[in-house]
Amino acid sequence: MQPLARLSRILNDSVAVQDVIHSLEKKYTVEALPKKHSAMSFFDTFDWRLYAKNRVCYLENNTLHLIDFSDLQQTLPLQLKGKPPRFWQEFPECDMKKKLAGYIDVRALLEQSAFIKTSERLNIVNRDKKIIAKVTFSETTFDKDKSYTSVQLLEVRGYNKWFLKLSRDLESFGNPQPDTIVQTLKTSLSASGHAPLDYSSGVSFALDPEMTSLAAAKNIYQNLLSTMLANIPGIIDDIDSEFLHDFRVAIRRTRSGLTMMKRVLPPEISQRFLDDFKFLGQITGPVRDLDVYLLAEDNYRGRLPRYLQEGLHFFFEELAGQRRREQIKLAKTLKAPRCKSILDEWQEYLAQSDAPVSRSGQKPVTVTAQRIIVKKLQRILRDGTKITPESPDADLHRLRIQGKKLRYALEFFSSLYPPKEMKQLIKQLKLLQNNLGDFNDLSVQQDMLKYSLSILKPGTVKAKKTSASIGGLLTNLYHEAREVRTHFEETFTAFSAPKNQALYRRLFR
Amino acid sequence: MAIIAVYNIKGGVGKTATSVNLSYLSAHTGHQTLLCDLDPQGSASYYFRVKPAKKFSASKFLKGGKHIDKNIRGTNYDNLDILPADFTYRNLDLALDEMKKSRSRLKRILKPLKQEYDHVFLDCPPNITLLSENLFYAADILLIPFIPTTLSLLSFSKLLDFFKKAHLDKKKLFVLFSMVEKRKRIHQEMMNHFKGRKRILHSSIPYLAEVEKMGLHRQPVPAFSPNSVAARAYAGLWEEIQQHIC
Repeated sequence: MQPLARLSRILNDSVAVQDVIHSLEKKYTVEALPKKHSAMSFFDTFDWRLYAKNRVCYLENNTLHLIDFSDLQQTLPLQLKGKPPRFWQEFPECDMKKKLAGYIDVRALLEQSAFIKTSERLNIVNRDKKIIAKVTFSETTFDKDKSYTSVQLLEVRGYNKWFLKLSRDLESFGNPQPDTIVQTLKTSLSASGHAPLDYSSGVSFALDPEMTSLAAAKNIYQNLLSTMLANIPGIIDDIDSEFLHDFRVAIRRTRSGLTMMKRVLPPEISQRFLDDFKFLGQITGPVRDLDVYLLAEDNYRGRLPRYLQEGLHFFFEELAGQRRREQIKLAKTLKAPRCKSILDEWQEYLAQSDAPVSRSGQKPVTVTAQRIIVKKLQRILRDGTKITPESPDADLHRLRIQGKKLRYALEFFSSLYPPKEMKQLIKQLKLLQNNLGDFNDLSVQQDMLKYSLSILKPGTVKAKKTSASIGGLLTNLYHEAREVRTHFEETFTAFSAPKNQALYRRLFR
Repeated sequence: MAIIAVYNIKGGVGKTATSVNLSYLSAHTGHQTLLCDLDPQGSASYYFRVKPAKKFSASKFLKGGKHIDKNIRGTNYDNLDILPADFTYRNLDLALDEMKKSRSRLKRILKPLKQEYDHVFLDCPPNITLLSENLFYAADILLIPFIPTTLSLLSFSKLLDFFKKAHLDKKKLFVLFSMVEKRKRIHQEMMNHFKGRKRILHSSIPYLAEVEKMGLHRQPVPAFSPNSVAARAYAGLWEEIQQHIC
């Protein structure tokens, strides 16, 4: 079926709502409804996961709406008493909960913008008092100084000729504007200097092949620093686990860049900030580790028979307690002068234009990119080929680190090469990384569980149940790790296949 | 999407009032709702102040697709559309009979509307005819308003027999006691007789002047008298039916 036609015009400053109403009353039978004031707020995750999937979520008069703005399909609205819960798990059982679970996953739903809307609706009716078109005047107020009045015309299904007639009548009163919920979102965000998708946890470095290596490196580091700074408030307020995750990934990428492009920056600068970012990595480690385990609670529960699950509950209660303590420490450290000065000084250094430039820093970025990617690739091929089914686990973990470095390098310099080919290389590398990452996760989890078992104080029923659960989990994880391990050879063979290597050679030699 | 057909072999049992009020309540709770007025008398269309297009007819209805899309009308209520009836619907049976796969025609016609609507209500004409059989196949819920009398018992058992012979799923049948008069002993006795049986809904609709006033107001009861006993009865009924919609 055809979507209903709609039209919106922002009223010219010289036009009053009453003028438009009078002009419509001369030609049509008009029924005016009482004025309505409503508070509206838009919600999305910090990284705009709903918007990225063409969804807009807004609260109007205690009703939460979730709309697909590509086809205007609406999920059944949800009546709420106040603001919506932060996490999808906290929603009552309903269609919206299921939809949100798929879109927002572990992220919290945050209020992105709020405003007041006063609307006045007119129904245009026929002789039977049947509504044949709907006209709404809306005054939208974002803050004291920013407001505008618009008129919206909405078609009633089956009465399109009236819609066309009225749209001609409204032509002289203002300028057309897209009347979509997305437009309202954009306008309300712009009042506070924001825009949808203004933060993304994905990476995108726009480099120019003409750049020197130093300019490119600074561009990359500046981008990563912005990510770090954007996430700090969310970490301190403990909004959701992804703030810390994104912060740590930006730190890891920066450290990896400083190591890979060590001579691009003056050596003493590289070394100094390598130490500083190592420190930031260390202080954020404990909370992240605990987050990873806590997020895996459902997964762990699924690995155990029902009678062993109670012990797991005790175990996770203990982990949650530890996390609360570590989070307090982390927030305190992040607010302390040392962290602030590290990031301020890094920002200051990146902004300097008169700092001495090393010889490596003067080289074209393409030369540096090529050197790094080839080096990292050769290292993976050399080390990976040596791995046999009998190799110790440590060899696979080392290869995982090498894989990560190559991935960062490909992402840093991606914009210098053809996008299609780069996407293909990253996709192939991702498959290898997934295998190595899964194996590493399972090994780390086993180590953590072994450690937890070793420090468990015996003698209580709780401890007995917890240790039984840990034992069950260890067995399950061990078998899965072995299973993942058996797939390494085929994954590596695919990665090192001649076709894939030929593509590397074509791009980087 | 769920297709809810409101049907009875007998006329004058409150089918149209049930369809109109339930479709209004469905839309009011945020569900995209369509009411198909299949009764050539067009009472549901009248209540919603909608007239069919001049070129619409039974044969166009049976063609389905864009012929239906073009004739759907928005009502005065958000989320609620109506496909108005046309007087040529009195010949729907004849037209159906001339078609291939005549028993499943309606199901096929309604299928594309599943994309657009959460609930489709069918206000059906009385009788067991080919059209009724089509309804039995197409509907997810067959809601049967009964005035609690002995004759109703008889027509219900006839319907059950029909379902058995035609190998239709009895689970989609739901009986609603409609136009119930508290002071009539026969109504009380019949309701007690059926009480607690499978396929009998707990909610019932009393015989009330408010329901008859729908014709004066040309509005559903909950729209012109939201706090009335009748509006509350329909709200209770809708709540109960929603529990049976998968």
